[in-house]
Amino acid sequence: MSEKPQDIKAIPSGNSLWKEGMGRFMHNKLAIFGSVFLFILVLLCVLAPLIAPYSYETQNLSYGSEPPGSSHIMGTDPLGRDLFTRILYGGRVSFSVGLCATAVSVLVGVIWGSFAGWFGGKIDTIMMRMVDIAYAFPFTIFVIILMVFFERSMLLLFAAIGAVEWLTMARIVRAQVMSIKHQEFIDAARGLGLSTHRIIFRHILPNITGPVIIYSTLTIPAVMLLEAFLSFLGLGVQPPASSWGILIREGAETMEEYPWLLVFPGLALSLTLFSLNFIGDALRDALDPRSSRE
Amino acid sequence: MILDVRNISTVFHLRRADIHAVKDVSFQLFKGETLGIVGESGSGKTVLCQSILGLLPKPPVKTSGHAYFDNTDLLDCDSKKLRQIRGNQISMIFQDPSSAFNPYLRLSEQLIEPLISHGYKSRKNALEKARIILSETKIPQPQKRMYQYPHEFSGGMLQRAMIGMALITNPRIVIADEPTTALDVTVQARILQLMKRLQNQYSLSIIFITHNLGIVAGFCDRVVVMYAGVVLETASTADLFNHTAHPYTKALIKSVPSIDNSKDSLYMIPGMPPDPAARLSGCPFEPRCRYRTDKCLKSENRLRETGKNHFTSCIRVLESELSL
Amino acid sequence: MGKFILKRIFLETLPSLLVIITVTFFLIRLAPGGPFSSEKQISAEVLEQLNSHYGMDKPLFAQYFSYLLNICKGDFGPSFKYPGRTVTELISESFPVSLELGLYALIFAILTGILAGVVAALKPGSFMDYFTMSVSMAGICIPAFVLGPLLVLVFSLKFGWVNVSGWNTFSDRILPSITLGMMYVAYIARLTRGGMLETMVQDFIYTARSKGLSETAVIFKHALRGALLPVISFMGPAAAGMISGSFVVETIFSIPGLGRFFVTAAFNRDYTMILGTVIFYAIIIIIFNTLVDIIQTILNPRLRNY
Repeated sequence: MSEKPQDIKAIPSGNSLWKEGMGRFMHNKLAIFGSVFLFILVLLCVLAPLIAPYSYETQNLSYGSEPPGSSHIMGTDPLGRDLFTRILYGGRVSFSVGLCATAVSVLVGVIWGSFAGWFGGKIDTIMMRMVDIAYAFPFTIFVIILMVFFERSMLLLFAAIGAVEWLTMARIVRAQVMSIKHQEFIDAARGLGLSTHRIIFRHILPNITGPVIIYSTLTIPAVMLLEAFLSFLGLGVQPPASSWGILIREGAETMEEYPWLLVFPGLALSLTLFSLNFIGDALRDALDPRSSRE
Repeated sequence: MILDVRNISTVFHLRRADIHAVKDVSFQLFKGETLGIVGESGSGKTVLCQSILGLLPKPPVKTSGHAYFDNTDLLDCDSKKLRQIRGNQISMIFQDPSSAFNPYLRLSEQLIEPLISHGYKSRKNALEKARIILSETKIPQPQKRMYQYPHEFSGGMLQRAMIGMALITNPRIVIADEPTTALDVTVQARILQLMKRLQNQYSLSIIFITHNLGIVAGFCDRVVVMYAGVVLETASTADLFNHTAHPYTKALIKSVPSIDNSKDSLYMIPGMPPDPAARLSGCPFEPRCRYRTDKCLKSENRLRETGKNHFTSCIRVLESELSL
Repeated sequence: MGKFILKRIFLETLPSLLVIITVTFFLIRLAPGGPFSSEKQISAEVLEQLNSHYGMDKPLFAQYFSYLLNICKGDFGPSFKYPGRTVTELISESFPVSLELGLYALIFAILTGILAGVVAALKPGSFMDYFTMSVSMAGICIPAFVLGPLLVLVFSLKFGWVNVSGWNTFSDRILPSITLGMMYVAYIARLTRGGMLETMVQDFIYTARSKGLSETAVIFKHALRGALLPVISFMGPAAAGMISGSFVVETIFSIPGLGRFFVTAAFNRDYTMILGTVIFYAIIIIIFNTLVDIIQTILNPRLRNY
């Protein structure tokens, strides 16, 4: 078969993979719905000080434990605090924990994984061996120990959760780097005399962004879940600060009398997790053609 | 006549387009004969056989036409009836033995499945049958080998086992879909020999799908030549080679490398097979045919007799304008 | 197989355990506070006595090595919080409860998850597919500490079908098992579906159909085996997690299992109890991972030539 000149047009340009992926993403209705919901929720949380109908700590015992109604759309807690306001403020904490801890895990995981993958050999063996050992570590326990034994601060919470979640990221990045490293265009770049750090930054890192983005979107819900879990046990965010986990814990204590105190925070957390997971799945289907069949 | 295929058309309804993989194909298979179906990849020869056995997923695929086997229309009977025939009366041999066996199950288990699924009660007798059939296919130490897993066999050995598996129910027709393509040339010859011997022993009718004209010449009694989902020519093997009646067949024969013409460059049919999504009128080979005329575009592309039991669709040959 | 297990123990299990013990030991010992710091009216004299009784007056490294030595003898030491009781006793009392709960949850998760995954994979893109996968997504997105209370709210408080909490009758086992298993149902269903979709397009499925096998036989005999391999590798850590007890589920339903003991121990800085539980958990995780490897070798004959 002879190569005809018009064949050249068929060669995809650099952007087309992303463009095509985004096109596929836009076709996924659930992911679109999730993105819109998440955008609105995050916006409400960020703007909470401006738009919240009540102050978040003001107690008003004469309005204690009111069911959802016209003055308090999600009701009030036994201390008379407006639940909607508290959910918005709790969301600020939950979202920032989710983002920061994910950032920690991405940073550590990408650096660890790309080092191991790039250098290979003994360094790789030792580094990945450490990851393997860490996998055998009962991590929830580790986080619980950290949170019990040290002063509970947001910073420690980020560090603790980030430390749990980086392992998988490191494995993904390493595998990706290993496979790219042996492709011909890297040899070509070496042959052209490019410096190592230029190869890493110009060629390797751009090629691992896809999987990293996909896995990050799936890490955020996992992290938010872990934070809520810790707060539920009383080990996460400390009062008077509040997160959805704390609201759920408080709601569960009084659910017999005031079920809305459990339902609304639970709904906020679950819908957020739904949205993030849908977005993550859709991104994976859209950007990673190999896994799109799943 | 054991199988009478009439006017089969198969369409894949895909999101992008409808693909007409097989268009109005008819052929007959007689008792004890070997019928070759020849064509390039994408010519629809595999889809044709899958359609006959109802092996294609129903929603995207639509098959019309008839395939009479023992007065039963295979295309018009329920899936239960079809299952009783499949693997029992008509069985299949596939191209790549290493992927056609389930890697997680012992060979013995897979060999006896056609028996068990067609009402054979005794597992012990079935295993004994499996052992016998393996020894007939000349697999050494069948008693021991049959309890091994597929990855412990070579490709040739697995293909022998697959032939055994196809024959274990004593079927009347075997459809072999490029059974030697994935094998070494030396192994190929032995597998073909084996099939020939077992064919006589079991008085089988074989449909042999291949793109290799060399195999057709040595192995088949009659040949159906397919191109872009349609039949262009059917003839006995001798007639096909000696009195070729279609330019495409001629081109195929010419492109088989042989010692005589190896000094010249290898013959290549110009152009590419047509896009199966496009539905053309007239002779599908017209764009690539060196003998084409305007008439070819308007021809209705129907098989007509040009000699005894020799059919072609080439309008120019039929009107005796052209002799190849 | 024996060689494989030995290699596993000496090259992977023991080093991992050592690292875990060391990290945990120094982490909790170097942190401020101690097991007796919460008891306020305690004189310096009594504190000194207590410390010397538990050997905490010796240098930290000496304590570390004597702890390691004791573990080798199978002695996890006395509990700090429950005077007169050993850690081994406490674990062996509470673990069977967690084990029982975990097994129910495991059975529930495996049966429901695999069934849902297979049903979804049979017609990808169909209503059943979307429905099953959305429900299983709910398992991931509605965490146990939301699902548990909600189930109690509906089935105990509203309908009064089962008790709110406790661990006495069989019906007490239902809600906790569902709560604990639900998350795993979701993951198993998703993995099964993925595996099935991948397997159903393999050539050997086609061969099986051409042999005249019924679709049920094709799915359960030929496809499921390969499709379950990813599920099984996920099941290692998952089963370990379920069986070693979930803190949340045991807390919500007041179940006297290991998870609740651990949280109490952590809050009370019960050093020996914390260390003992951590080691116990780690061993369970390792055992399950090894089991998974063995099961995979059984299911996948191609892995047997190591």
